[in-house]
Parts: sequence; C-alpha cells; structure tokens
Amino acid sequence: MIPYEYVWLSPDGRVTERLLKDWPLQDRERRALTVMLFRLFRTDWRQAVGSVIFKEKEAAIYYAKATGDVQLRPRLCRGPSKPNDEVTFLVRAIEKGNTTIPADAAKVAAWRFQELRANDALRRRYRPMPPQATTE
Amino acid sequence: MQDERSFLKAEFADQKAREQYAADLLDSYIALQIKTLRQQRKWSQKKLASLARKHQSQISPMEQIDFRSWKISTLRQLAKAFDLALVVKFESFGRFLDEVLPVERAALERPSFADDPAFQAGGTVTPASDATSASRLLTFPGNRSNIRLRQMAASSGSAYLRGTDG
Repeated sequence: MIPYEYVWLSPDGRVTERLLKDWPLQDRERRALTVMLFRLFRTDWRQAVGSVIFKEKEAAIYYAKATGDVQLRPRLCRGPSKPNDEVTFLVRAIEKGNTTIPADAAKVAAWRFQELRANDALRRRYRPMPPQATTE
Repeated sequence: MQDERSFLKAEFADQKAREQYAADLLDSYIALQIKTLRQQRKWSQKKLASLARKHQSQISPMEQIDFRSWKISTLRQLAKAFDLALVVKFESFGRFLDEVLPVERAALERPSFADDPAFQAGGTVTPASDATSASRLLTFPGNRSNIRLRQMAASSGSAYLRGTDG
C-alpha cells in the first residue's frame, strides 16, 4: 500500500506542514515510525490489518503501531480514493498507559477523512527522509 | 519503495541507528511472516495456536509488528506447526536488508515439507555456496512455486531465500 500523509495548507495553497514528515519525534521514535511505514508499503491489506494497522471504533479509521520509548499510534484511513492501494495518515497520536493522547484522535481522524474526501489536495505521498533533509 | 535502501544506507552509518533498525526490521519481519504463513495455509489463529501448543491469546500479539519478546523455543514450535525449518544466523547488515526488507506475500510464503518442490520427484536442492545466486538454490523445472521463488530472487537481486526452505 502507498502511504500518504495529511498536510496543512496556507491560504494560497502551499504546504506549511506535513503530518508524518514534520512530526517532532526523538530519533528512536522516528526510526520506529519509518520501519512501520516500510512494512505498510510492502504489505497488502489482509497482511497489514492486525499486524501493522488496527481497527478503530470510528468507522473507516484505523491506528498504526510504532514502538520506541513512546508508543506512537497515528490514526489513518484507507484510501480515500483508492482504498485497496492507499492509506492516508490523518492524526498524530501516542499512547501512554492505555490512554490515547490526544483523546479525540479517532474523532479528529474521522472528521479529516471526510475533509479529504472533498479535497484530495490535503494529502501528499509519504517518502522517507532523514531529519536533516526535511525541506520542502 | 526504491527509496528504502538508499534511505537506510545513510541511516546505518550511525551504530545506534542500525542496531535499532535491525531489531525493528527483524521483529516486524517475523511477525509478518507468521501471519502470512498462517494465511497461506488458511488457518485461524486458534488452529495455529493448537498446532504450536500455544494459547490463542499468544498468537495475536506475535503477529503484530511491535512484538519484542521472541523466544527461540517458541519459534521452533511455530516452525514445527508450519512444517518448516527455523533458521537463526548472524548476518552482515547489507545482506540482512536483502532478507528482511521484502515482506510482500510472495516473499514470505513458504511451502510445508509435503509441498516443498525440493523434496518432490525430480526436485533437487543445490548447495548454497554462492550467496548471490538465490535463484539457483532450488531447482525444480516447471514447478510454479519454484518459478515464483526465482522471480523473487531475480527482482530483489538478493539471496534472501537462502537457507529458509529447509
């Protein structure tokens, strides 16, 4: 599957921030996130669900697992345009002691999922980049 | 993702980084292979648990990429359940990447002994003396599984099949 990430746009349509690429993480978490994304890229949907990504209570929303010193649990959706081939990461989230931070991560993800269905410009394809090369 | 290897090549320059990537890539590789092998055999987690003499609740975490608590004794039980050989070895980082980066279904599936082309009439097992010649490890003319194995080896340019087919 091809991973995409939600992006924030300026009023003139320029990307000001990317969900995964600009997520401020320690090296250990960034590496764990990278491995998770590599695995997602090389697996099909049946392999990935239950191993890399997991169903959320909110319809159409999933969370991914990447474990460093902090448990990363970003929220994502299938597609939305090609649900068998693409996923889009929608919300940054972590888990501490069975509590998700932010607590409303799944709801925000569901809201952004609808937003994305109306405007595909709000996402970009994710590509791995070391932190020193994160310029647009 | 063609970027994977070049990205990791840069990252592996740092010792801490390559140690973590090696651990995370290996853990996730094993988890995904267990799941893929189970799906290849059309088994439920309950059935695999029964065959591996584990509780069903132990199988689900082992199929998740963040599972860290591997024991060789458990992996041996799973290998026995799948009727496969278990391979544990030390490897250079470069060849390690050849082996653990591909996790597509075709790269992870393995035939049980009964379906292993190397042990069927006319099949041969070639000694793995040349690590760059994964396509020569198994030879069984006309066998579909073998053709797929050779295609995988050719496309990866690697020897990641070496020693994993019993």
